[in-house]
Amino acid sequence: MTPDGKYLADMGSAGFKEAEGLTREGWYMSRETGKETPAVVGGAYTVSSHASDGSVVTNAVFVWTGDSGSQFMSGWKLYPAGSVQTGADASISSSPANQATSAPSADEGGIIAGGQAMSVQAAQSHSPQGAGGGPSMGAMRSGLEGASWIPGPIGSVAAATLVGIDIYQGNYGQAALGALGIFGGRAMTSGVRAVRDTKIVTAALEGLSGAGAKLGNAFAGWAKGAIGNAGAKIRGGPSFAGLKDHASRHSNLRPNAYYNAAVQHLRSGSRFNFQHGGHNKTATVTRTGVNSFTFTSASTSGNRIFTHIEGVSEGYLKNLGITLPEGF
Amino acid sequence: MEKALRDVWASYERFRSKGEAYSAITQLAGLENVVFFGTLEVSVRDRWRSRVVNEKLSPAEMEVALTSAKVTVERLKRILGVGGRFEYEELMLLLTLRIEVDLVNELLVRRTGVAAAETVTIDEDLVDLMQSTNHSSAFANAQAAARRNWGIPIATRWLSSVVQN
Repeated sequence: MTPDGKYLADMGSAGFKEAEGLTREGWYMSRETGKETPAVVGGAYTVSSHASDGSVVTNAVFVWTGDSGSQFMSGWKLYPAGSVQTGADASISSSPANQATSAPSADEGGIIAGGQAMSVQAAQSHSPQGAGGGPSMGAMRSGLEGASWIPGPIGSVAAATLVGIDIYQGNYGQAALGALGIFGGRAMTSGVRAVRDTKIVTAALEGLSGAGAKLGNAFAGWAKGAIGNAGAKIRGGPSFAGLKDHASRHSNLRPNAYYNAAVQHLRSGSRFNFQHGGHNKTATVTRTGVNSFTFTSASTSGNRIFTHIEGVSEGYLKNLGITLPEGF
Repeated sequence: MEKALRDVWASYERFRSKGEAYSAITQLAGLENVVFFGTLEVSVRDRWRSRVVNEKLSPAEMEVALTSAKVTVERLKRILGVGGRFEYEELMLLLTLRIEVDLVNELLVRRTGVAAAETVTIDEDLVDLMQSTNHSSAFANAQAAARRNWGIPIATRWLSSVVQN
């Protein structure tokens, strides 16, 4: 990022090109809605151009890795993408995730959220809620392979999910090969991104049973271990009494990673006020599905977190006295 | 009251159209509870009872409801299994999830004869928590808020002032 807040990609002989759709840390301009939109960790913004034969090639990929916690470092990480055909990306643009948009057009950027969006869906497909209307496993696989063509962390996110699907389908040999890819990918990643990858694997693998469970559990164990090594607690953040208990009750994360997720969410979610027993509190809410939200409760000053819970429903928020606005 | 019933019905249809079977069925189950056990004007009750009871659910949706209720019970077990002090927001989560499981169980028993989820063990823990000195006041607040905000007057022991196992 330049001192005046621009994000530049090196386009080789064409010089530097500004990723105009990146508006600030963790936010991009959605081509679908024309509105500034929060990026999800693992989502990527592509910078593309025309090749000599007229085809569209992706020259660079900005991956949102989460708030770096430093005023000198950007959470948008730049990766050279090589020549990635946007046609391949098009297969992931049909993802229903909030951030997925159409494939980037010539000379413009676009958000690729397919790796993550599909990954989340794959994980959910093992859960009963996911059985309601998600894509078939076959359809999901083809989309993921499109995503995994993109080298770098985005590919590793998608590849992580492919392992889950392979095991789910009983294709253990391919799963093992996929896992090697994950380990390779993980070696290049760190911090929040690694947490995200492993969380997806864990979620996908924990739904296994029967013959696949043994192999699946081994991978899930590795993934959980990786989450546990996610790093130190964000310094100088709000207090959080009973952190270990809250982390155990509401997540698979180690306390530090859970704390960091709560603090990150306070920064990125939408705020609502609610009260009980004469106490005023602030709820930070982000939609994660049709009837699924991440919820963080904090003091109105923001100095104290009370709890952080993923997967709450509209009904729960309503019971707390939080009515979501139309179109939230 | 009719507006409240219509709002819940609209939520049911919205969730169902988006493939969120469990969320849809919790809404429908809430309506079923109210038309059978709630205090409604007779004409309103009869009209809505016929509408709700005649609403068909597919075997696949029932299966999702059954499995999701079991998953919810596991979630409740996990939360209750970690000791320490619970925040008001967590007590509200426990209350909401437990009531939803009850509503879905009622619907499944009525429609299939089979309850989804065994809840005896979590109920013991939940009642203990509700009655513990540190939490009874916050729990009473959560019950009052849930009664006020649920939208329709569901009949459940979990919202009564004296809950016994």
